[in-house]
Amino acid sequence: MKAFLMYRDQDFDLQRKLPWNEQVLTQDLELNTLFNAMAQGDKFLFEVAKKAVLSEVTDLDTILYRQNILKDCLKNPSVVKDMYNLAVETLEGEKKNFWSFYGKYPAGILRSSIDILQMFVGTLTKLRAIADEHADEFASDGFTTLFAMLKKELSDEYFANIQNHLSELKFRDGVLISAELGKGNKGTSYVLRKSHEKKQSWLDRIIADYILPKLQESKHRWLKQIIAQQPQAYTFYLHPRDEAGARALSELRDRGIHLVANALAQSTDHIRSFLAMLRTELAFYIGCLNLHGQLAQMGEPMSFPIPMSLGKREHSFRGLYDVCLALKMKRRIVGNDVTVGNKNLVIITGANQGGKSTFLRSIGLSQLMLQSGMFVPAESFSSNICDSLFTHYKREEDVAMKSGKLDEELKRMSGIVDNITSNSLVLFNESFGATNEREGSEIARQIVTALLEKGIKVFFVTHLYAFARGLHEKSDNAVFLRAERQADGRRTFKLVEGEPLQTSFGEDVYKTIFGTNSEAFHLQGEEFI
Amino acid sequence: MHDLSLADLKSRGFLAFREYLTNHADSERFTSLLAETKKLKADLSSIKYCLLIKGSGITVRKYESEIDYSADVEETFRKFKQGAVKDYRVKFTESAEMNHVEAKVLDFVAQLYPDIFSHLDDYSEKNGNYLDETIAVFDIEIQFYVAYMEFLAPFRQAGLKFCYPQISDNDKEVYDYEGFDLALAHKLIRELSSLVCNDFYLKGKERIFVVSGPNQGGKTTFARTFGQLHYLACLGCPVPGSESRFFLFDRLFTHFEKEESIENLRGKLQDDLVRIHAILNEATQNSIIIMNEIFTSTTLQDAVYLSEKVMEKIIELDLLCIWVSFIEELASFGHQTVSMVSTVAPENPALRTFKIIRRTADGLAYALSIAEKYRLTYDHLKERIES
Repeated sequence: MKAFLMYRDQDFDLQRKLPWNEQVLTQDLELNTLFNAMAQGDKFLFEVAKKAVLSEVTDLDTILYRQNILKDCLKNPSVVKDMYNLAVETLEGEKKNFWSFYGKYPAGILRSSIDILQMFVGTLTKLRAIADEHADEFASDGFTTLFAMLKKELSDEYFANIQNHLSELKFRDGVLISAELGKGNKGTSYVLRKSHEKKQSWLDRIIADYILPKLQESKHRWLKQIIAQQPQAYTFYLHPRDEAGARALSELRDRGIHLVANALAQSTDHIRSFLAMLRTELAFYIGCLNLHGQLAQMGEPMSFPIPMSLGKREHSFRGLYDVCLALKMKRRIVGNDVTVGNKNLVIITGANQGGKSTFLRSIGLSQLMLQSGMFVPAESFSSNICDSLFTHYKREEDVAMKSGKLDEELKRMSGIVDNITSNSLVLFNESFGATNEREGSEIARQIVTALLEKGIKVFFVTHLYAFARGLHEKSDNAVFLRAERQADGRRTFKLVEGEPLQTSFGEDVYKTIFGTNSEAFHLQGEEFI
Repeated sequence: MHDLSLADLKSRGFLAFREYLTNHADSERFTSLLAETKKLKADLSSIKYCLLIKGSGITVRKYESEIDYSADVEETFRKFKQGAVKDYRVKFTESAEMNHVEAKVLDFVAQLYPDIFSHLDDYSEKNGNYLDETIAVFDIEIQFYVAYMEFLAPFRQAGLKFCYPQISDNDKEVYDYEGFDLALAHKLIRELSSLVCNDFYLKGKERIFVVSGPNQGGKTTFARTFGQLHYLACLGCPVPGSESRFFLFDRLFTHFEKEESIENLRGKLQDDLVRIHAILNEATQNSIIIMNEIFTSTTLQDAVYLSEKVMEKIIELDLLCIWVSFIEELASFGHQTVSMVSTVAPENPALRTFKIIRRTADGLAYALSIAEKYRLTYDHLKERIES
């Protein structure tokens, strides 16, 4: 039994390795803000959100598979939450009640397993009931398959069969074990057997359990002979004070039941891991529901994106906003409309604090959200899938370091190149500006030219005029965006298509900070995040 | 026995042993014993019985085709299977002896199968002390060969070569092509790393390898290989290499650097000298000496002086020797010395090749430079990124 709510045919592995640049992405894209919104203070939800968003999916089918499941969740939030809570309560309950689980003896392992299984069977029964009641309300492949499986696999007869085993395994009629002769005629190949159905009357039972052991202790030879007289079966009873014998006997018994104890303990593990997987996979959608609720409250638009396959090049959107900024500001923020189409390079220049970083972040965030199967923060959105996402941001904290800032930047760049593939997306934010403009431009030019020739998609926020200008003159594979600045120095925080300009209007910012501009305005963007 | 008669045996030892075995196996005593043993074993292994354990009682009876209940339970829960989980099976300690409960059970089993067990009684009475002495000795001696072949098997599988060396007790020309250090190979093969093979030869008056070159370049390994292969070859073992020839030495001395020890109350240099003195005293003209970086705890000038003194002694004794040393003067000491150098890749001096070759020591090993530190120029990138 599998939940299969994240992939059509594979589990969602919470232990999976995240991309090597996971920390950099988290920092540059402010991902923790997103994860916190999805988790709502729950550590587990946070962990799942992080794993799901950072381990991007690269096949179309899985993305659409999750989108449909998420649509179902948005339609039936309470049923989904019920299932999630059921899984959580069972797993937490088990942890609380059986913390000293198992021992090293088969008998102990068997006993604990029976108790835990009883509890799990209760949960599975409830899951079946949910499936019976609500299956019709779900349309996605994922949920339809899950519910059908619950109904098929967990029939009433099956539950009865399990109960039967659980009571049989208490071995009220003794443990029956077959054996063969091994080296030195020592018993070997102990196998637990199910005795042929034989109804034992209550009288037989009393004789077997109480009378015969007593007779064994008696001194009367003739009585002993009666006991042994049953054809082809010989019985003996341990003396009550024979402790070594008792140990030997219980070891024999353990040899008989240790396989079944193992089977049962493993079954509890399997059911536990089924419930754990159900919990984990539902957790992703619970996170999405949480995020959806918050954005809906602000009146922010959300839409299911249209993903294009890995080899294609596409990037177009309307009303794309930085979801993390919106979550921080707790209000609606300005979105951008851009049609990049099949071009590979987007150069963003223009006013300082005009929303360039915010825009770049919204590109990274929407790409990760699309590739994890989520909705995106936009009115409409389409882009091709990429197999890795890289960010290369200017790092302020390294300015004073002796090793040299350019050295540090290039070292990071080299790390990216070590991992890059032709279907990657790279976001540069004011990279290679640590040297003079001419040298910085030349480095940037060489790097970007090489990346483009390999088919890699690049978004580059830059103040390097020579670099941007040079590309503008030569490249027809690029879109040039500029942070808008109105004649009075106000920013609209909207990006418009436009060629690179030689100033970034830093003077405006200077004036704002030093108060020479009478009409102070709220800065939005970089300084908040 | 059957395998042995098919094998294409050449060695004197094996041929004689085969003949002995053939006679033994044809004897009346052996053939009848074999037949009887087979019959008894088959009978005993056909026995299958059941134990019913309940409270302090245990009942023994014949097995009546009851189904395997563990499998039944496992089958019921199969649908929940989710991949690998913990193994809860218990490891029982298996002792050769029986406890009294097991013995009691066996008594009952004997009662259930009286014919087989009475046969067993007769058999054991008759054949209590049957073991041929020659075969017992063979059993012990053959283990050495088997163990060595088993040790070599993974290397052979990895494509490494082994050969039976020529051995001489008077001619000190030695060589080995495509040789390697078995100890290192044993480690590398588990890590699945590749291994570098090296060639060496001494001919004419040549007696002494002086190995120099960059650190971590495989010098110590090379010295160890030289000694190790001599040792194995003189035991009669096949050794690493495609073709080889070794000298049948009387003793093999090693002098590897030791940690300074407070117990011997000597300085390190003095300790070095005491040890080398002892070695040179005991060595005969048929000995081999392996030295690894001695005299490192003194000035270069002293080290050169002392090394040359030791070298004179070694040459005087006409010893076979391999000497790892940073002292270049030793490499060109005389026509008995051969200079071997650990090498670096010419295009990238930082890269070790682990190749040790016959070459004049030039002292240029550490000259490394990296032209474009991060390889981020357009040309580099075009090469680095796969399309």
